[in-house]
Amino acid sequence: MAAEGAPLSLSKILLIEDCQEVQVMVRAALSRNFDLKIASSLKAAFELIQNNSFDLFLVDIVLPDGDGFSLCSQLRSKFQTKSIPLFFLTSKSESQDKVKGFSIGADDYIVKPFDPLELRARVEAKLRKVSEGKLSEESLQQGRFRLELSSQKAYAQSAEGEQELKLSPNEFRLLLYLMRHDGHILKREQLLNSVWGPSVKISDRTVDAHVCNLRKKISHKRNHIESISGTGYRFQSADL
Amino acid sequence: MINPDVLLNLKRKLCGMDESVFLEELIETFLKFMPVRIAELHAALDLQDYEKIGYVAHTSKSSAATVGAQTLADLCQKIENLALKKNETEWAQSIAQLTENLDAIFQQTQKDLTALRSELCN
Repeated sequence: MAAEGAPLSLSKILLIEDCQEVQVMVRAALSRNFDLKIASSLKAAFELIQNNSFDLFLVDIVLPDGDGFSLCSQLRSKFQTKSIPLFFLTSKSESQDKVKGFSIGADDYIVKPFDPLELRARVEAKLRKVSEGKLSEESLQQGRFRLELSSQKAYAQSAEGEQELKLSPNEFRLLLYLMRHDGHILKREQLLNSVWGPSVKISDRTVDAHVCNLRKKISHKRNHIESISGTGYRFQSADL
Repeated sequence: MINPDVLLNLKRKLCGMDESVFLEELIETFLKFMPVRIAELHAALDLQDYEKIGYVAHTSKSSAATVGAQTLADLCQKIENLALKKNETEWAQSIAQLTENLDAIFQQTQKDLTALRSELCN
């Protein structure tokens, strides 16, 4: 079970980089510890971002169809991506570029050629801080959803503004668990053990029933909880 | 043409992480894509597309620096800088001269890197 479950918890990183040699370097540095996806252009990056959720972005500045600064600004202006860590990875070493990068919302700025171990250490440090922050926070925000942990209240953003979701305690815990594993495939057994606890005697059908109810309550423009045949479910907070 | 310390340091740092496989892939990628980029630079020069010259020179600079091909990286940096300048009479002529040197420098880089590869990856 542990061996099967481990890859599900890998943080997802999107590298937006057109230089193939740099892609090889980043893969060598990160692919063992992270779920790394690569886009060679802004267009490819936007497609991946629309259909996946990521934990961190690594962005080159000079790209074939635009620049990484504009991508950063767009990600920072969107509700779903504004708080996801973003590092620039670029050969632009002038201080004015670094200042611009940080001023538009980058969390780090790494100049090429880079040390792969240093890159990995910086990524791990940033993701660790994010993870610690999530554990100690009073509220959790992911995509259009926000959970108040102390009051056990759930909210969803829509065109009309933020609306409270009327969830049962189990549905709240289920949504919390799904949000903490945004974009990952989760087995029914995993949901059952984590939400209800391993000692509780309930069947997979109970999980399915709760997921079905939760899905009805939270769906807006899209179905946020996808059924994965023969396995379980995948939650995706991003709105299409 | 090649600073061997760049790849030797990489091999040392990635020790235990399939470093030979990684270095082989890195060198192979460089030898595959750099000729394509040089051809793109020549084509862009023929079309006097200086925006494209600047972009390809920038990518080539990163690529060359990654494998320690410092002479090639420096030359690409010069081409990129000139392409960004908006002084037509100066840059058009200088870029043409620099781009002419690219083939010779790449050929020597390729030779040096191939020799270094057999030393690093075996």
